Amino acid sequence: MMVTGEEENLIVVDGLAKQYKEFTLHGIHFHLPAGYIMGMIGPNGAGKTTTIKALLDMIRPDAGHISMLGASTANDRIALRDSLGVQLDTTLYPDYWRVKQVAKSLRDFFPQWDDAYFDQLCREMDIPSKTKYKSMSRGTQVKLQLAAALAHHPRLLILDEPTGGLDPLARDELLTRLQDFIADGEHSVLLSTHLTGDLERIADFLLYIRGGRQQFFGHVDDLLNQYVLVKGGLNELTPALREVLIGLRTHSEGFSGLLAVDQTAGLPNTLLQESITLEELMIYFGRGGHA
Amino acid sequence: MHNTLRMMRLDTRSVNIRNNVLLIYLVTNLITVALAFSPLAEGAFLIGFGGLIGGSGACLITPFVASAQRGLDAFYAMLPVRRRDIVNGHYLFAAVLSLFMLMNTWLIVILIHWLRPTLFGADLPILLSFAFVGPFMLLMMSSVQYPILMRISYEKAPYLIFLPIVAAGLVSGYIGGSSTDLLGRHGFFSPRGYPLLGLGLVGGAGIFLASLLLARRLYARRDL
Repeated sequence: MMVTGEEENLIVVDGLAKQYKEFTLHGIHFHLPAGYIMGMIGPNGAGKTTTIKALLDMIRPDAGHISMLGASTANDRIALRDSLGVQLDTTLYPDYWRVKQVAKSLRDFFPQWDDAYFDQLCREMDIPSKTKYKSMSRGTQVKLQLAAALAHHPRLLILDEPTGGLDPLARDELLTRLQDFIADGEHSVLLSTHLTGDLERIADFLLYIRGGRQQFFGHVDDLLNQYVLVKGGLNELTPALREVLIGLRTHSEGFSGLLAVDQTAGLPNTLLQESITLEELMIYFGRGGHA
Repeated sequence: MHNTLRMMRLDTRSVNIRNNVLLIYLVTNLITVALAFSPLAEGAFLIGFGGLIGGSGACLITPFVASAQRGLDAFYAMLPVRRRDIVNGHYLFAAVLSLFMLMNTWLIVILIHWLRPTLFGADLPILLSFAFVGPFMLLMMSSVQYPILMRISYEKAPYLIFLPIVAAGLVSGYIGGSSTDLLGRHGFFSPRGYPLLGLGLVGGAGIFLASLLLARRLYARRDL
């Protein structure tokens, strides 16, 4: 999908910063228009969860501006929670709650809560109604959170590692559900995950954070088109090439590393240049280098 | 106000507290009534009232224990309620539980008096009046505990949280033990007792309110 200048942004983040004793999130900027899915990737401790916590007003940023669903202050954003569905990468509900208690408790708070839809989602996701929350598998706990997040018909979904505990079939169903969710052009999803394959399949935009710093925000294809994977024999690894390669890996047969497309001019034809996947991008950047 | 009530209901649901409280009160009530017929000592039933204070004190912090165990602060953050409503809900929970405790104590005292009129005799008024002491001490205990819990959470200060429970037990025991000497046979319902009762209620309400405002301020600033 292409973004036009007139589309409504459901999230706008500008210069978000937060300092802890051992970690600092530096100036994060991004926006998420209605009708799109945005993926947030980065290694563990990169700042993804901190960013989500700031969006949910669980932490107070040291700097920056956040607008969500058009609300710019914390109180205004909280008042609009009915339009926001959230799944977090934690065990969220009390131990002994079952499906019934989740519905009973959330129904009180969300005017648009839809019992019939919640029941339908629980059936479709095979969530056992008699099992206590603490006895559910991690994947089922995530499914229950997702069902609860969707059951009050939000406009915006914020999901933190929703696919991690799911089996391939459940993951595929979730991704399809998310695509259906945004299909009318009015809804959006912000999705943080380590499973880059999922993002390549459904994400329109990508926010890449590493070490608390934003490395990239934009269309997924734009990011992937910025780099190539270069492979060759050890005798072709010149000092100049070693200097510019990102995440250089050497082995007995040769070497491989990422290279910015604008630095490929003049490379010998004997070197192999391949397009990259998001997973390769994360691995090579994780090994060392810069974006 | 609606959100405060909703949060209080969520507190009771979050720890299955209704069943726990009912069970604790039922068992303690039965023990208290049984002790009223104890051949060992006439004042043995007072042990049951001590148990009620302890049980209620434990109930008061259970929402926070559950919160620490299951990350309920994150759950609250997803709801369309302001942080002040979350704090208000906790305090309302404490107030309602204390009121419940007062009514229950009165009920037990009247029940014992009905079953065995000779046990209390003329001491019935002082027993009814000192039913205030337990709930009052619980509310004072909450007034100390809750701001601490709001700022640093239960998991980071479990022992600090239990100190007010111990203090509440000691003060309640002292007041209960010396009540007749202090105020005479009619307890707070006497010319000497009314000013003390009034002072206690006004002072207690002031402390409770100050604690609520402090807790709201502390929770508003906390990173969850």
